[in-house]
Order: sequence, then C-alpha cells, then structure tokens
Amino acid sequence: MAVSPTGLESRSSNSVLRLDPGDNVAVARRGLAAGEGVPSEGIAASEEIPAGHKFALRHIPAGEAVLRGGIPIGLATAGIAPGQRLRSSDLSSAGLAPPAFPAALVPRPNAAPATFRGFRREDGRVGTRNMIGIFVVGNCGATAARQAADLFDEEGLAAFPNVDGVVPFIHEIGCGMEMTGEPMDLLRRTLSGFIRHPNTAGAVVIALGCERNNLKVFLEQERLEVGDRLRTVTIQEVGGIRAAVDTARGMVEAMLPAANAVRREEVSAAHLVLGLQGGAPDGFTGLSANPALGVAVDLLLQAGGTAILSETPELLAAQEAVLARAGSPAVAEALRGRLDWWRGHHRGRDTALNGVLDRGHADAGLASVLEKALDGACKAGSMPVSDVFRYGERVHGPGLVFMDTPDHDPVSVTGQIAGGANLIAMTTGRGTAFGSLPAPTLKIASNSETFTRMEDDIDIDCGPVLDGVVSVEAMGRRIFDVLLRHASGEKTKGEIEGMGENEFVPWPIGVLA
Amino acid sequence: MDVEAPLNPFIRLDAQDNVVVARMPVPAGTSVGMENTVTRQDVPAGHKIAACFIRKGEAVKKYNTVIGYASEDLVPGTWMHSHNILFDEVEKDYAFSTNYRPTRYVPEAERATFQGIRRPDGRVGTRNYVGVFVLGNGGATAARKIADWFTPDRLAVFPNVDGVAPFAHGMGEAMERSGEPMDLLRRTIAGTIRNPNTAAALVIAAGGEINALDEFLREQGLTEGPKLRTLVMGETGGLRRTVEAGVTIVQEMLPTANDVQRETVSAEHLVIGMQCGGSDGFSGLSANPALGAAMDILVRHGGTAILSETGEIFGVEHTLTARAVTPEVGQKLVDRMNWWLGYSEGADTQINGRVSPGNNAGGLANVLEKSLGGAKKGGNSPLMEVYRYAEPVTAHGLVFMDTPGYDPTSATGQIAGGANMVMFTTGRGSCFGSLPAPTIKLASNTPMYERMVADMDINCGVIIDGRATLEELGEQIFAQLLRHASGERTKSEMNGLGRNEFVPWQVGVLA
Repeated sequence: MAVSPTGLESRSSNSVLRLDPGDNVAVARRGLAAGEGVPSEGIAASEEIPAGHKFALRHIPAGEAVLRGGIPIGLATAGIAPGQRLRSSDLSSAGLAPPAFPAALVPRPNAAPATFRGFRREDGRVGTRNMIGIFVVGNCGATAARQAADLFDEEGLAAFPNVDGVVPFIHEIGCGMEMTGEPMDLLRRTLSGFIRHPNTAGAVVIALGCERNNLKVFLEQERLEVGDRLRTVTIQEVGGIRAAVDTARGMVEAMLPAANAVRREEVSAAHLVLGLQGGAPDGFTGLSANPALGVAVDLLLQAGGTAILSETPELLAAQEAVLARAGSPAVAEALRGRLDWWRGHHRGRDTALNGVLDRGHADAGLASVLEKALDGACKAGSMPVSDVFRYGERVHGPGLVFMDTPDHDPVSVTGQIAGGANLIAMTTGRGTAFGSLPAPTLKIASNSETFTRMEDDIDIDCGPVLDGVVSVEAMGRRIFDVLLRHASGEKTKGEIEGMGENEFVPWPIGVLA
Repeated sequence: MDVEAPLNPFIRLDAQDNVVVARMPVPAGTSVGMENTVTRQDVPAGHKIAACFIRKGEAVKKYNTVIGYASEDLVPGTWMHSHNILFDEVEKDYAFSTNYRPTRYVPEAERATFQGIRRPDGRVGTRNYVGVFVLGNGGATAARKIADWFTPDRLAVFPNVDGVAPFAHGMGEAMERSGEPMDLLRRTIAGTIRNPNTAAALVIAAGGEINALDEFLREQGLTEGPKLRTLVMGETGGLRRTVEAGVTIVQEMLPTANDVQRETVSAEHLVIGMQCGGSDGFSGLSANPALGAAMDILVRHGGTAILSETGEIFGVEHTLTARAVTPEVGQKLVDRMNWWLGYSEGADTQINGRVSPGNNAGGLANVLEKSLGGAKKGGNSPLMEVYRYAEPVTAHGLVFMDTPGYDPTSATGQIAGGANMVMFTTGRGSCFGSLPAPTIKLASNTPMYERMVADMDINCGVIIDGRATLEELGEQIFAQLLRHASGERTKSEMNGLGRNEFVPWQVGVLA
C-alpha cells in the first residue's frame, strides 16, 4: 500500500508529507510560499506549492522515476530542480512498469462479528433502506413520475414511518435510441436492477406508450411480473399526464401499508454490498481517504461482505497493477477485455484515457493519470478481485468484485446500485455533494479543509490521517463502523440534504437517433 | 354485399396512389365502394390497403411517392403493412434548388401581430422565465431545489415572470474535453440562456467539472452581470449553502425580470421549432400537413419555422433540397444526412429502416412512409438555411436544424437555437412540454384528442373526420399560435411540463 501510517505520524508537525524514505518528491500538506523553507527535508520551495501538490526533494534528472510512497508515478520528461512543483506535464508513463498491488487479504483481528440492522427481503437479500420507486421506461414519463413522487412528502408519509420515501427515478433516454443490442439491454437491466433492489419495497413504472423501450418488451425481457409490488401506468391509455399522476398516486397509496409493515432486524455484515467510488479526487485522496476506505473494505470482506470496484477508465493507466489484483486467470482475462474495450472506445477522443489528466485533477495536485489510477485502486483494500460484471449486472459476492462503469459519478453509482449495492462509499478531495437513492452514499473527505467547507454534505473527515493524529488503520475501522450505522438506517448527509432524485443516470452508451 | 357506410372508411391521398388509408378500424369483408374492392383482413385505423392489384416488386405509392415495394402479389383490399411492403434503397435526385420559388411575403404593414416581450438584442420573447442552469450533473439537485423554492405563491408579486425553471442535465463531467461533444453542450446551455424567453439566468457549477465555468463563459462570449450570475458549489460550501445563495440571487433578479411589458409586435419575430412524436398513420394525413399549412402562412408573414429530426426525413431529403434557396444550402442538408448514415452504421435505429413499435402499431410500415408524413409539417416554403444542433438561427423562413429525432433532445436544440415556441404533432398522444419556449400539441385524430384533451391543444382529427380542410385548419392553427405566443398558456404549461425535458444531445463518449 502506498501509505505508511507510522511514517505519517512521525511527521505530524511538518508542513509536508514524505511518504517513503526513498521518495524524491513530497506532498505539501498546506500551501507553501515561494522560498519557504522545509526544515525536515533541508530544502526550500522554489515556487508556490498549493496544498496537495508535490514538489521535488532533490534534482530529478530526465528519465528518472518519480517516486511517491516508494511507487513510481511517472518518469521525469525533463530535469526537475529541487523545490520545484511537480506538474502533470513533467511526467510521462511511457515505458514505466507500474508496481503490482498486494493481492492477499491482510488479516485483521475482529473483536465481534460485524452486524447491522437491515430489512430482510424474500429473495434473501437485505435492504438498508425501504423506498417506493417511480420509474420511467423513457424520458416521456419523467414529469409524470416526478409529479407523482412529489405528492408523497414527509407529511404524506407520516403514517408510514418505516417507508424512507417515494422516489422518482427518471432519466434522459428510453426512446430515440437503438432498439436492440447493448444500449437497450443496458438500460433495461439498470431499470430492473433498481426495481428488484433490496432497498426498493415497491415500484410503479410509467410509460408514455410508444417508446422504443417498449413497456411490455421491457417487462418480458427482464422477467418482471406485475403484481402488488410492481404496477405500471401507460399515459396514453389512462388519458394524459394528470390521469397518469393520479393513477400512479393511487398505486403508491395501495403499496404503502405493505411497504410499511417491514421491520429491521439484526443481520450479518455479509449482507452489505458496498459500491466504491471516488469523486473529485485531489493530491491527498491517495494518502488518507482511499487507503482508509481500503481498510474498511478489508474489514467488510473479512466479515463475508461484498465490495464493488468500478470506474474502469480511471484504472486504465495502472493496467498491470489492476490485472495483478485478479484472483484467477479468467478474472484477469475478463478485466483485460474491459480495459481493451475502453481503449478502443476512446481512441482519438480528448479524454484522460489518452494519458492527459483532466484540468481539475491536475489543479488539485494529481501529477499523472498513473498516480490517479494508483490512488483510486487503493480504496479497494488488499483482496484479490474475484469476479467481473458488466454495467448494471446483478453482482454475486462475497468478496471484492469489479463492475465495468464509466468514471462519471452518477453513471457509475447507478450501475452499482442496479447491480445490488445497498450502500455506496465515495471518497473526495475537493468535495462533492453527490447523493444516491435507494442506496445512500456515504462521503469521505481526504482533508479537513474540504470537510469543514462542505460539512453539510460530507460524512467523514480523513484529514486527521494527514495530520498524523489518526492512523490509516484506525480511520479505516472508524469508516467501517460508520458504514454499519448508516446501513442500519442512520441518515447520511446526502439523504438529509435531499440528494439522489437527480442522480439516477443510466449509462447512455449507444447512438441516439 | 353490405350497404356501404355513408362516409368512405378509407382516405385516398393522391389519384396516382395504389394504397388508401383507413380513417377508422375496418373489419374484414367491408365493401369499399369508391375503390371498388372489399377488405381482405381486419384493418386497424391508420393502416393501409391495396387499392388495386399490386404485383410482387411493384412500387407502393402514397402521396404519389414511393414508400417501398410489394413483397408478393397483392390483391385489392389486402392489408398493407411492414410484412408486405419491402423497404429498399430508393433512387434519389437532389435536384438542388430546381424547385426554389421565392416566398410571396405579406406586405409588412399587413402582417399578423402578437403580444411579445422585446429584448435588448431585438429578439422577442413569448414567455419570461428565470432559468437555473448547471454545467454538469453535480449541480442538478441544487438547481432543482433553487427553482422549486419559487412556488406560484412566492412569485405572485412578480406577475410578469412566468416562472423559475431548472435546466438540469446528466452531462458536463467525465466527457470529451474538446471538440463537438463539449462545443455542443456549451452552445446548448448558452443558447438557452440567451433565448429571448429567458429573462435572467443563474449558472450552477459543482466545481472541477470538465465543462469548466471560466472556459464555458469565455468560449460562449457570456459575461457575468445582473442578468447572468454564477455559483460554484465547492466554493459556496456545498448543497445547502448553494441553494440558499441561489435563492437569494434569483430574488435579486426578479424585480428586473418582472419589469417588462408585452407589446404588439410583428409575427416575423416568431421562431417555431417543429416537432413530431408518437406519430401514427394519421399524423401524415392531418396534423403534419395542417401544421405545414400554418407554417407556410407564418413564413409569408416573415416568421421562421425550424424543421429538424434529421433521421426522420431520411429518404425524402430530395423534396427539401429541390426547394433550397441555393445548392450550397441543399448540400449542407445532404452532408448532415451522410454524417448520420455513418454515425448510425450498424445501429438498430430508424435511419436503418426500423420505426419504433408505437409508430409501427399506428400503421407506418417503414421509415420512408414515416419520413414522408413527417416532412409534411414543413409545408411547401423554400428551404433558406441549414444549421447544426443548437446553433443560433438567424435566417427567416423555413430552415432546417440537424437534431436527433428524440423529442426532448431535438426541442432542446431548437430552443437553444432561439425558438420561442414549439409546435408538436402527435398521433398516439405525446405529453411533451418544454421551457422556456412552450410547446403547443396538435393531435392527429379525434379519439386521441378526446382521450387526452388535458394534454392536447389542437385537434387536427377534424381533417380525418371531414369537418375542415387543411387550408382552414392551417389558418386556425396560425391564429391559435399567435394567441399562445401572446401569453395564453398551453396545456403542457398548465400541466407543469418542461422541468424534466431539457436534454442536450449526448453525442460523444463518457469517461
């Protein structure tokens, strides 16, 4: 792992973080002024170094590997002077063989069997929330779905305290798209994954009536049967928007008593399916939030749970390191297949997959796509990847599994939840307000400045890891405990703030006609 | 033989046609006196029968235009649909500008007028909205919460403001950083901000989007000021504080936004986005040609009508290129069509011959038949210009904007291009609505109109029922358009539509 907790602690009073004695760069913990001395390293910053950015500790000649945490994050394209800020243009990853991650669980002593209070469902899965969803097969039903869901505010649901909400799941596609093949299959399995989700107590599906994602074909293909917990409304049959809203309202009202009749019970943490996410990373995420989440993931996996690593484009730059995490040759082959697909999908496109960091990431202190990839991968802990799933496909654990998704947060989380994730953990550097439903998102800040600035939105502050006052291991345990509390019903900041009704975004992958 | 019903159950569209179209469901064995035949199968409303003997391989003609070829020998009275009409490559002659006839304008002094809102740039609004925009999906919930705060009660003291509307979308992050995908998104957002129906705009950034705020403003030539404000969530301190700050900003904008008066202006200031969705076999017989008649009137009064949905005119583009003002304008249309053919290669979409299940059930046998009916809504005016998606529309007359056929995406492009009203024909009953330019919906048939009267503005089924001519209905549609442009609310506005239908075209790859 890239971080040595003891190394951090020993430098708790420093303005910079040097992660490994052999490193030739250090990370500015706070902004350094030009000329400011760094006594612990016997060096001065030769220019302004923003917080989270790296600078050279000694002269780094062209072609030499830049080492952070003992791991090469790129080769210097030209000589870098001591005290000089490291910019993404200073690094190349060509010809650099990235290191392999450890692929074996680091056993951790467990005081007590981990449990949470969840909703047991008929299919054996366990819900962390209990919601009724109003879905649309295409955008033409969007306003009807939102208007119907909006009728069930807190007051309207007061008599049903075990129901966490009535939520519209509307999206921008469903018509004008390819009628068969992966684009339509993907949309359908995403929708049905949400409808079947253990956090979904009941579902109403609204169709206009003439969508390419035809309601009847959708239900047949996904083997969904209309019944007490799944109702459908076709706007053209009921006679328009108002009639559709009224009909959907009646259907939800009929579902509420049964949805409310469920009770939480003590279940093993083995029933947790945790979606791993990174949003708006910075130069600190790989030092604090991600490795700490990795520890929490290891604890979850040790308890028999499931974690889903995703965001394939981000990992592409560390392909060899990712492949080394495969638990079997078949998994390695499947991973390689997805990585190759992405490479082809982005050929000739101006995206980070072609080696140049996004501006926002470079501004936040990341030096290379390789560094970002290595940082991102470390939130998955130390277990090997045991299986690979397509976007939105139902995942089967236990263990660490991989789901192929884009990096784009709402799209990636939508795929994971469709796959059965009942909780999402998202690390962030610069801060994000993202939230999701019906599975909530727990947000973890890499640094205290961001956490303090966005305290209404972010659940956990990993800044103490940077300050050396809490070890990565201890922070990981804290995250695991908080995950179990939220799985048991404690609201995340995103839920308190009302996020999640605009962040259901199935991956629009095909041609729009 | 039964006594024939007083009204012929079939419509003949052209004397040269070898098919006729059922006005209503017609059972097998019904005598069709005018065509001197008997139906061989049950014929659903909007579907066709052979009007004479059609040999295998012979062209099937509707509107005196080839819509396909008979797959077998067909006796008169046979139900004709996708099972026996083969769709192959049809010979096309673009005949650039050979049929161009300059518009006979109504003298300026005699032009129709409406009550519009004059803007400083000379354009005229039909509505007066404050918009809350997002650069990426990260701002979506904030934008919606800000807009939702402004309930009718809270806006009651600003009677000239039609609403505060969210324009949220799913893109802006993890997308291509340069090139058409980003250019398109930016000009769509900027065009909607600049739409004459937008009085003022607040733009929300999450912070760190690939669609970066500074680049967006610079590239689109937008300057922050009292009518264009911005908020960055990362700097403001998250969702709640952004919503609070956004509500305050909109409150500051409202007095100025409210300080407008409608005045009498020429119909030449109308820019109409034309749409069709949920078409049926009647759309091409009633609603589309009736809208075409209304748009021909609008064009003679100096206004602008935007035809779009490129893939849906595939096969009949030669009818537009022949009317192009110059061969260059006609060629632009051909170039866009060729781009679509490449883009759609191998995809299961309409341009490759598949109509949606709804269209098919409604009686449209193939894309060509659908295209023919769809192009009818553009009327017979000359084609004056061809635009890319969301490009500012500056020409007057009939113009074309390249958009997908997908309704929300197509209308979003037209409104970004400056459309201040949208006119939408539908057969099966679409409930589409748009903001800040409202949508007027035209029903192709009376049963659907009556079933969905809370969503439909105009019944074009009167054509099918034999109660009005296309010319009469065209005049009525034009008159109703002027009323809605003057502020009379459309059904979709009454139903609260348009807050979930802003869908910029997602043309690139996601990362």
